[in-house]
Amino acid sequence: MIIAVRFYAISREIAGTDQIKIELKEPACVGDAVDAVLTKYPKLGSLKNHLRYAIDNDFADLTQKLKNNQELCVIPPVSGG
Amino acid sequence: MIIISPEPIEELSVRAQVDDPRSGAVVTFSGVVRELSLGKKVQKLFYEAHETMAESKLKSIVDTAMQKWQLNKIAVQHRTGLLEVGDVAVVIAVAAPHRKEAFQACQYIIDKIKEDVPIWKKEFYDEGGRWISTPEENNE
Repeated sequence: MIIAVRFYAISREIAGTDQIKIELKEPACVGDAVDAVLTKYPKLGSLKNHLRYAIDNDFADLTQKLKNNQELCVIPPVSGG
Repeated sequence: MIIISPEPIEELSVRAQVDDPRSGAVVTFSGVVRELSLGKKVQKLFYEAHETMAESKLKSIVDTAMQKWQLNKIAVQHRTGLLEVGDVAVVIAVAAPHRKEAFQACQYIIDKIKEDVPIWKKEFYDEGGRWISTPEENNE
């Protein structure tokens, strides 16, 4: 399956891009996509413990199942306000 | 009313969104770009948002506040893009029959924004910049 991964803020700067597509074997969950992203961008590893992920405008946990063509957002620590 | 936009925020127009004859109290909070951050002089500031998710999260925070307290109306506007010292980054207006609930709800909303709304702030100094809330060792 193909998953679009979107990066924001510091994760976007570290990855050097705001969006990539990755291919995963089915079935796959958020954690599988995260592993693939960290393999592709090892520099994101130091931030791993601080990252959250989101699908369809809501936070998603690592065990959430992914569907083909879904978009996964990488959410670094927020600092609005 | 929930707005996330690069347009400058008109504080009084956000306040006007919550006008309601049932209200005896309106509390507004304005978040403003401060000159000093962690001892460093801020030159400018950049706000980035995951806009659709930020709107959705703000809506759910506002809905929760409406359920938690007796309130009449809430308006929230957050700015994105480049801001300078003194610029208004966020305005929250809460109208309620009585002041206690309005104060509590306003505090709750700004606290939750800082926890769960995907908006990020990068401060720029004379030399370099830093994403706020991200641990120092991860900032280049």
